[in-house]
Amino acid sequence: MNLRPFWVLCLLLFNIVKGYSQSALLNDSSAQILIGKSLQLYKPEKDMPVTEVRHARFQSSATAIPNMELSTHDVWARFTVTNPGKHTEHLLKVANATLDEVELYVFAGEQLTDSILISKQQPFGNRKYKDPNYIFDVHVLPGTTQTFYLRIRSKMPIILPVYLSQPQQQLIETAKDYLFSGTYVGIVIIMVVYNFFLFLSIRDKSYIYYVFYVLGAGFTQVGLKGFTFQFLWPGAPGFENISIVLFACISGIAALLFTLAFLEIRKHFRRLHLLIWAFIGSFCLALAFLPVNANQAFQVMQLATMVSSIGVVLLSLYIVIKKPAIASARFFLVAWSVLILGSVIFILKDFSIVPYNLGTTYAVQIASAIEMALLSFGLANRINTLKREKEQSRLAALRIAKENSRIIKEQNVVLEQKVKKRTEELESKNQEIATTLADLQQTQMQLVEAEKMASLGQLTAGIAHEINNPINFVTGNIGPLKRDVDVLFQLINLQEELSTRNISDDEKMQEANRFKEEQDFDYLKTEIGHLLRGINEGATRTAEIVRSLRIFSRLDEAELKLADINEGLESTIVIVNNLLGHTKVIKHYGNLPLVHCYPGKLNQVFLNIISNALFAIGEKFGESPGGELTVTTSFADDQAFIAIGDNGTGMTEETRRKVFDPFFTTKDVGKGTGLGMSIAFTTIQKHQGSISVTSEPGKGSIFSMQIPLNAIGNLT
Amino acid sequence: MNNDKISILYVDDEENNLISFKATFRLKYKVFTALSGAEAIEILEKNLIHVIITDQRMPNMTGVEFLEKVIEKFTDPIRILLTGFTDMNAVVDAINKGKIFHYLTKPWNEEELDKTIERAYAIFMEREKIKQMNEKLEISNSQLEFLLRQKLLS
Repeated sequence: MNLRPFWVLCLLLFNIVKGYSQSALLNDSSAQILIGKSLQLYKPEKDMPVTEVRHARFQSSATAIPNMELSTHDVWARFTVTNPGKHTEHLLKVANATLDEVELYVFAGEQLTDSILISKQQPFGNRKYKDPNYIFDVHVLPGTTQTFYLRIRSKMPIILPVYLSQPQQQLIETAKDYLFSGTYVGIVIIMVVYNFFLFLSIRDKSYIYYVFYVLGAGFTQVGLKGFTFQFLWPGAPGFENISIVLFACISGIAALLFTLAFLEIRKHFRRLHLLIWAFIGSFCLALAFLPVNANQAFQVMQLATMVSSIGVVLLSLYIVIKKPAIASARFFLVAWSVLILGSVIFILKDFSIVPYNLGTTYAVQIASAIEMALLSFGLANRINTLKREKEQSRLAALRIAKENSRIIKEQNVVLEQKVKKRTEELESKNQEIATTLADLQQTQMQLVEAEKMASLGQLTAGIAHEINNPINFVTGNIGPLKRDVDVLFQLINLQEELSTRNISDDEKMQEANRFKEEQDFDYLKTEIGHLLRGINEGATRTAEIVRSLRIFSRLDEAELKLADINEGLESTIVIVNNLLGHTKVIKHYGNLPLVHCYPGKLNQVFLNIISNALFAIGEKFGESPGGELTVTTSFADDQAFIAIGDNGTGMTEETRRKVFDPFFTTKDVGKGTGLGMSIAFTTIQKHQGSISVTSEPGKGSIFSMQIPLNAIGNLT
Repeated sequence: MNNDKISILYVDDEENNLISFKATFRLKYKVFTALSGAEAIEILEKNLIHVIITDQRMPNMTGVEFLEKVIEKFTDPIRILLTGFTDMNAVVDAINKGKIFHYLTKPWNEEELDKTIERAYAIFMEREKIKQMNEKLEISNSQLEFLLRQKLLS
């Protein structure tokens, strides 16, 4: 952007040619006069007072715009002005705002008559002429010649475009500067605002980096023209001294960050990305120097600017060649090339290779504006690219979504088919299971029915036996009784006949007695009593059996009833009376309240248990006596307890564990269904009670049941 | 009492049955009754019995067991078993072991019982007659043998 060491060399070569001093001629024309060629220059190795400088060897300037290069000390310029015209008042302008300090010394003969100091160390308001350039009043009486000394100090290269003009002419020149710089500022502001809003909406880092770059560059360029000091911080000369380097560094760093983001260096060129960071580092170094030594900082910044601008241009060139697809790189290359071109022109003007005029002095600003615009175009293009990419990715996503939905649809069809198949399989299996279940239920019903029939068979046989005896002697007694009654009737008839006969009472008595004797009347009387008693007893016993039968045959009653469990047990024992043989029945009936239950079903349970007990007793004792069946009932805690024990063969542990399993039987094939105990278990469970068995082989078994009094409400 | 009367022994553990039986047949037959097998055997030892009728179902000694014992000592009396009709095993045992003439079911039919007794008695009498005839034949046989021997000797 600024100076190049190369050009410095050129300048040195150029500067060898020395011209002789020549007095600058004032004229009354409106144009300003560039008096570079009338200047005599002195660049000492130390700071000296003006009185000493007067005797130093000044050298004439060879160029219209003398270039004194960098100097850590004051440099000096001497010129003489001859006024052939009529006007006394003239203005001297050093048109370089980057200078830190310029002091004009006026001599009358050998005498220092006046000195005017304009310095950036002082607030801007101290200046007589409110202009970023250094403007001094020059009084040269018409027809005289006057010698002036200029002391100049700057940390930047000292370029001395020195003009003489009339005051009104100076206003025009200033206006031109305002116009150019104002235009530039306008462009900067537009770019900043526009791209800042783009950043707000797009949220792409490139834009904010660009904004910072433009701001930094703008401040730098305007600062170089001195306008920032004039308008923005006129009262802060301290800040003015560092502002150029500061803003240049900011713009440099922002430009590099912008390059990184804009060209997507990290994505495409990993190694170059490190290089850029190295450039950024050099700017940071310049910033670090700034508070210590402004001159050093300026030089580092200048070097960093030079290296990184060449680096960035080469980089963008490389990208354009390597990856022509990246359109932004082309914008980038062109933009930076324009800026560099502008800088080159600007520098060349300092070395008088290109003419020094308004165009060349503003070359950098113009190039900077063009660059900003081009970069902005690049950023705008980037929106298009982003839009296109987004569109493409959206289309791709849409395509993928369509493909996915197609696949899902296909899978759906396949799955539906599978589900249908499975459902059919399941349905057919369900059907099978339902059929099997129905079969099983049928079988179970048949088995339960068979067990019931077995019970009924046992019942019938028992009843038949039990009822035979009493019925036998009732019917058997009828015959003899009838006959005996006939004998009685005969006796009555005889006595009636005897009473009509005309014989003595004794004879009558004898006759009757003879009949009685004949009929064994005394025995007859006893016999009649016996027979009647027999009939009575037979009838009573039959009635009793029938009653038991009725109690027991609640077998088929499905109804819930309040029933006396003792009575049920008793009737069951009557039913099994024929199986008892010599078995002694021991009954311990407790005082039981009526229990809500299915009495028929409970009786069947009792019958099953008692028949098993009797079977076990039979196995052990056979026909011989000794068997004992113990029936115990008791009541506690709203529970009826029933225990049926025997002293039969008992069970092994294995049998005991299986005793409630359906179809488990120890009897021979055909003798038992193996359902009796299973039904007993189910029935007691239905009553929400419990049944358990304790047994010892050879000693007998005890079945204990427990039935809640009122739990039956939940039964179905 | 008439000694020509048929003498019958009826055994049953149910006394009412004994009374009923005796009342029914006492005029026609000479009736002995016993409440158990043991008692019946005592009666058999003291009296001539033509027909024995026993109930099957009795405590201590069943009808069949009783009959088996009877056969050991007294072969002559005709044996009849009185039983509930479902006791098929008892009936089979009675035929095989007790060698019964007939079996009857309870409750009995008086007429049928009477006829059966009469037939039993008839068999008894026939056997008796055969026995007597055999005895007579034996006597005449021995007399004839004696005569033959004398003839041979003479």
